[in-house]
Amino acid sequence: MTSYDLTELVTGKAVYGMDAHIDGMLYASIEHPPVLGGKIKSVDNAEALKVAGVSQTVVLDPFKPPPAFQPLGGVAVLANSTWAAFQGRKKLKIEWDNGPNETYDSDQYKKELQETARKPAKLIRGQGDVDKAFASTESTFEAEYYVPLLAHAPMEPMVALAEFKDGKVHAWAPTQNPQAVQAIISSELGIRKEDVICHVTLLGGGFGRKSKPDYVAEAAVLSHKVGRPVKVVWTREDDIKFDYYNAVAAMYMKAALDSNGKPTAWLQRSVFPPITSIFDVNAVYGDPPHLAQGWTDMPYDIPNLRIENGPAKAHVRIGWLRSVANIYHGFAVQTFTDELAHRAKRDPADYLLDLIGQPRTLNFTGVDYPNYGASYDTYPWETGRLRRVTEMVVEKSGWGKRKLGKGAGLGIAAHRSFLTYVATVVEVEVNDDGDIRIPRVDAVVDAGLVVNPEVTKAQFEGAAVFGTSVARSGEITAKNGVIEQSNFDTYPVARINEAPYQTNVYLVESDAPPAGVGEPGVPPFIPALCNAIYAATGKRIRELPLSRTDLGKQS
Amino acid sequence: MANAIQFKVNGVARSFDGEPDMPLLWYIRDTLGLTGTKFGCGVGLCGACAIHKNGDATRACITPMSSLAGAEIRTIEDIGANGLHPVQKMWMQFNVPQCGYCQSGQIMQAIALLKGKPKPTDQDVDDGMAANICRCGTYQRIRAAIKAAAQESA
Repeated sequence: MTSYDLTELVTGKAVYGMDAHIDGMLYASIEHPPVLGGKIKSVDNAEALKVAGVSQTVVLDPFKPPPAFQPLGGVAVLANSTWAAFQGRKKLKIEWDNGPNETYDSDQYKKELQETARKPAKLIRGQGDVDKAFASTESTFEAEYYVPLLAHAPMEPMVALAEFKDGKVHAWAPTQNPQAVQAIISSELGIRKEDVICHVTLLGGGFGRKSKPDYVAEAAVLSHKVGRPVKVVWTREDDIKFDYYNAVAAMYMKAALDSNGKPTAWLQRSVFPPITSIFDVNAVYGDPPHLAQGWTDMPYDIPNLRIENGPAKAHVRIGWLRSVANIYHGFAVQTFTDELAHRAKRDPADYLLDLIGQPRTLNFTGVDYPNYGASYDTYPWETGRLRRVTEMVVEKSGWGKRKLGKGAGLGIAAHRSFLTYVATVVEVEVNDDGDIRIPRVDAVVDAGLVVNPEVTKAQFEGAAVFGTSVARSGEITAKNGVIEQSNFDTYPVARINEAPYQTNVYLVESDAPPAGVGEPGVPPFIPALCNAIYAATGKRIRELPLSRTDLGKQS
Repeated sequence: MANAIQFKVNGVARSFDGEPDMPLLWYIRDTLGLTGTKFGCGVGLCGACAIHKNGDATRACITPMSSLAGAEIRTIEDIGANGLHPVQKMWMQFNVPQCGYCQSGQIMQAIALLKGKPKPTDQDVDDGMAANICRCGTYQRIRAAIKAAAQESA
């Protein structure tokens, strides 16, 4: 089944937010406060106004905390072309009062997260007595994992066109969330939601970024101020520096092991600035929906279990990014599992299947487990389905049977997210210089009933590439509260020569109710890749991205 | 208009006497309204703005108007204007696009690649296409479509 608009997509006729146009519109480029919550001390726009095509500058108010989806504030330069607006903006002279987030430093923050992760924290789910088991066992194993802030970087930077006229706003925007567009413009301009008409254009990628409509509100506020239609165009640098980042996270894991190397007690503790911090300045603990993403629902049948979450304050805007908290939770659980397998001198796939155990339905009685907003009766957590995709990926990938080249290894991981069960095997080759190549990925997917297999497979192919970007080079850092990355040179994403060469996707035939397919490919891919790197090199990846670790022979 | 720059876009003669440093991308998009060529990075890192300048794949976002005297510019709108190009046909057959935003640039780059390498190897595809980012991750299908288009054109 082919896409409805395929002809437009290959002939350049498809209309994205970037392509929206109405006669008489002005183009705007906005210099945002470099530090979240910063305010303007002074502006000198004299040179900006001298740039040909620039008509005026407009000061935008800073947001009132919490940020939510409000515009960040700053100074907008309006012009008769995108280029003129960009050029004018470069000529602005602004002095900033950076505010309290000026002290935010990613290296220091990382240490704080890791220290918090080593201390007892809030219980999310538990059974048995972990402390007693740790005290009485002969063998324990602990490990720490870390995943940095991540940016979305969709190919189309943030952009929106809005016209305020006769008390109403028409907004043309690539948005994942038109209702939020109505809500934020309504509150910014003091008009009724019904008077905000959102025309959703095609999106040049979103991955969760375009569900936060701060950029659409900017266009509406500017149009309201200048009395003309305004198209706000973010540069790539704006996109990378003013994102709602996927949370940075530190995870601490500890297991008590029996004589066969199987866990008898299991402690896992995660610490990350929560998404809820964009709505509540005091929020520091993970909220149930995001803790539920691969953490609360750790599926192994272990008699003594403690799942915990520690506090972390946000200094940048945190937001949803393709599979969200599953990224760091899945990385920790599935890497730790592989570490335990190797310690037990077991085949990692067999060991994983042992921990998944026999088919059963997880019981969350007394636990806050939102299950992606779905009814638990309709979408129960069935370990038999995770087991089945794992067994299938072992078979489909030729696990244990395939001949691999020099410096190559296979890694496996299994994860349920967005109600879909996925198991992934990644083959990696690591050369003497430590460069990696990913010749093959096999992913088995149980997403219940699949309506469009072709598009579903494409989503899992894309998820493997997205996961490759996260694993290889995904890292946003701040120094003095300012984001250090800016474009695809400092925030690289996977290119054709770095992406997996061949991703094979197998869909389990199922009559179960349909579930997610856009996000679930990402979480198991990343640990499967890192586990493959261990198999190939003996180097254990506990910290992303890989660019932080020298995988070469000399080290 | 004594100092105006003369060039052609999709076969139509054009004259420009504006800001000479302005990149071709914004002339194509804002002045001519040809929006198939996309803005992705502004610094020649992603390839979303790939066009053909005298037949070569070129980054419109870092091509100043001042460099265009006598140039023949071709954009995605002219590719397949008289029937789809084999590359476009294969892009459809292999269902390459997801969001589609980068695909104009990918197609322009692929056509230029095939001109120089009519039977591209995997290495040729890597070398020829590595400057074009697809964030949706359609690379596997891009590779297959390029190889199929090479067969088609043979």
